[in-house]
Parts: sequence; C-alpha cells; structure tokens
Amino acid sequence: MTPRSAPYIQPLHTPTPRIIVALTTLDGRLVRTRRFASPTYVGDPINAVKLFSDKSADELVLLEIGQRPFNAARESSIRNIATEAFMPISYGGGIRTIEHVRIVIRSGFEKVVLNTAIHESPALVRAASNEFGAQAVVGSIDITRNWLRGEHVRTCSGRRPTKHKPEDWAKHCEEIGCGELLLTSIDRDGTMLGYDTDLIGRVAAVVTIPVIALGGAGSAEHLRAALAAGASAVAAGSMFVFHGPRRAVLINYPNPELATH
Amino acid sequence: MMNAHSQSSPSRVFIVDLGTSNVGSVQKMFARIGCEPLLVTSPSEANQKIPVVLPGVGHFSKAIDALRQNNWLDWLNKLHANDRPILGICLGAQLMCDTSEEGDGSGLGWISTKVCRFPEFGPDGLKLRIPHMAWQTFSPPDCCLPFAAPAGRMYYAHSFYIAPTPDAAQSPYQSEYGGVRFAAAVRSRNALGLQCHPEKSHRHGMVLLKNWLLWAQGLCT
Repeated sequence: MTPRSAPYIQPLHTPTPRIIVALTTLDGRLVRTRRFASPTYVGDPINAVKLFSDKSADELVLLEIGQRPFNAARESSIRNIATEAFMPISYGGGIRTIEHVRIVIRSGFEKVVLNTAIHESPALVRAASNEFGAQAVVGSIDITRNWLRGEHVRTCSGRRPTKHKPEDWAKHCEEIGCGELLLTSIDRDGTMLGYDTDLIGRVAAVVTIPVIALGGAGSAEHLRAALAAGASAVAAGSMFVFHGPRRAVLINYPNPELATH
Repeated sequence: MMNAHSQSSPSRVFIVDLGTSNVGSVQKMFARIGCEPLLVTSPSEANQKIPVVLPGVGHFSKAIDALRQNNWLDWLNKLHANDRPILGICLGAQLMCDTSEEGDGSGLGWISTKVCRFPEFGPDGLKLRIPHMAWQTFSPPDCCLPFAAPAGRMYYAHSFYIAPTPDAAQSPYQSEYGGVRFAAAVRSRNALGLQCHPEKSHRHGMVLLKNWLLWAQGLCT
C-alpha cells in the first residue's frame, strides 16, 4: 500500500436525521400505550428488536414502564434483547444507581435513558456522564398539559406530576450532564396525530444538545414537521409496531430518506 | 506449533476491557462474524500474536489512567512498535493521539495530533448540536485503509474529534460535522483508529470489521 500524499475528505450529502424506534415494555412484555395508559400487548421485545435490526433501523430506544425494581431478571432480559441489536440501542426504566448504568452499558447498550433518576438523584446523572461520556446519557422528559397545572414535567412513567416547566427542566438536564434529550408529549402518545411541534421548538431553542421528539408520529409528514421545528432526531412507536396474528410482532420501518424528502 | 493451533481453533481477537467501555457491543459483533472475542483486563492475559481491539466510550484521561493502572501502556507501545495490528474504536482511536482537551493527561502519542472538543458554533456560524450523533457516509477509497472498506453509512457518537494531522498518512480519511473537519480514520504503523462505531453499524460495520480481522490475521501468522 502506498500512503496518499493528501487525505481523502469524505463528501457528505444532506445529513439524514436519525429515525428512532421507541419500544415500550411493561414487565418485559412489548406493549403499545395511548397517552401513557391502557397498555395493549403487542408481542415479544426480543423478536421486535431483531426485526428492526434486520431492517437496518437507525437506532432503537427500549423503555420499561413497569414499577418493578431493576433486578437480576431485568438484567438478563435486557442482555438477551441487546444480543439482537447491531445498531445503537438505549435502555431506560428503573435505573437508580451507577451500578445499574454499568450493567446496562456492559450488556451492549450504548446509552441509558434516565427520567425519574434525574429528579431523585442529579448526582447519578453527573456520575454516569463522567464515566461513560455525555453521549451515553439520555435525559427523558415527559410533558403533559392540564387545566390545573398547565404544561409541566411528569416522572415515574407519567404517574407523578412535578412543578417543572419543560424549558427549565431541559436546561437543567443539559447542565447536569445529559448528552441528549428524549422529549415526549404524553398527550400525543399513541395517538398518531402528530408531534407537539410547538413544544419541540421551544425546548430545542434553549439547549445545545440534540433533542429527540417522541409522541404522536403517524406519518412521514409528522416526522418532517418535528425536524423542521428543531428536533435533531425523531422517534416513534405506534407508527412502526403492529400487533400481528399468533402473538407475532409486525413492524414497519421507513426508508431513511423518508424524513427528508 | 502456532500455525497448527490457529488452524484448529476459530480466529481470536483480544478486546481490552477497561471496565468503562461498551465491550458488550464489540464482543457481540466479533462473535457474529465468526471469531472468538476474548475480553482481557490485563496484558498478562493477552499475547502479542493475536489482533487487539481497543474499544471505547468514556473519558480520555480516565481511560489513559485505567490503561496505566492495569499495565497496558508499555504493552501496547511494544505491540505498536512491533507492527502488530491494533484497532481503536471511537475513544480507543482518540487514545492513540498525543493529547486531548478532555482531561489533561497525554495519550499514547502514536498519532501526532490533538483531540479537540467540537466548538459551539461551526465555521459558518451555525450552532452545532454536541455530541455529534449521526449516521454518516463512510466510503474511503482503497488507498486510505490497508484493506477494502465497503461503501455505506457508519454510526458516529462523539463530543470530541481527532484534529487532522499535517501528515496525510496518519489521518488518510477525513470527514466533517457542521463544517469542522475531523479525522475519521487514523493510522500509525499497523495501528488503526476509527472514529465511528462499526460494531453498531449493521451489515456495513460487520463487513468492515471482518475485513480488518482478515488483514490483521495476515500480520499475526
């Protein structure tokens, strides 16, 4: 091999934003939810992850919404899931200690998704970010609006309200070491009516880390609208996962150009 | 002896395990391509006849400290000086450089350059979202790497980048984010560093690792 006298500089086309598959599990079973409620069983998460990996999905986020603690059974189940993924994959649900973070990363996940832990223990976020780098820590922010409290952040998979406003909380997450935000509109979850683009725009404007939009996607048009509003990546669940016959999962993953053309 | 041994067992790679890396993903991908990936936490468990992978997620100075504490530094330097194949992935590639803005320690010093943090604004004045997390085209021409790389996309996730070296041979393949040029592949002797994550880049990454392994095995016989 003769070394080049000049480096080769990769010409880049229009970057294709990441289209992320968001899978929700309840005690290890793949479910679909609507406004964070009425979970319906869809199938087996291991099979679903394998199907999305075979389809060369850009990235996958696995969110466990059950209330059971992070234990050895959870550990072995997520390890089996990670075995099927040859793409970036994140896990969230019940992570409360740095040891949990280490277990998830060592199992083959690139990122941990923290939500309730950000409220309970900002020090954990800092520690995870220092140990694994900010790119491995995703801050998950769930937002809802109601007549009593207005627009506010909720924790514990939507079960617990807080006083925080989305923009302030997003800035806080960035300051304590999150490398990315997963911004979910609870009100749009499972509706396939479109993202809350107003919320996405306001949050993306106040942080410098990438913002992933989640909640409401039902069409390519919706994905484009979220990106136009300021999201760096778009995530969806219901749009990609269907309940098939014989307890099988049916999936639909778009061509990567879908979000840009 | 060595030949007979390598023919009777599947090919092997050593994966340096510093405790903070995404060793699981790297191990999984090498197993998928049909080789036996062995996690090693200290050089006493490794030998110089088997290709070595230095994976990485984490913090530059902390990773160098971990290498030092586990007596990896001298061992890796010797491996490098003896023209043995080493593959650095992401932080593993950055560790091959002189210094980094992430922490104040020095690196392995094989690549004469610095690892820098992406600026808040690119040269065109646009705000850069950091970390850079994206799938980017990865199609180096044949002469950039010592083996063939298929044309396709690779996954990148990094806040720090390797500044291109003045010597084109050390950073033969470059890419950019928001107008900031960075070294996507670095090379010194038979040590190769990649900024992207082939272990997380589907079939394209799998083929790249397979081609690296075939090339690396050729050097180890």
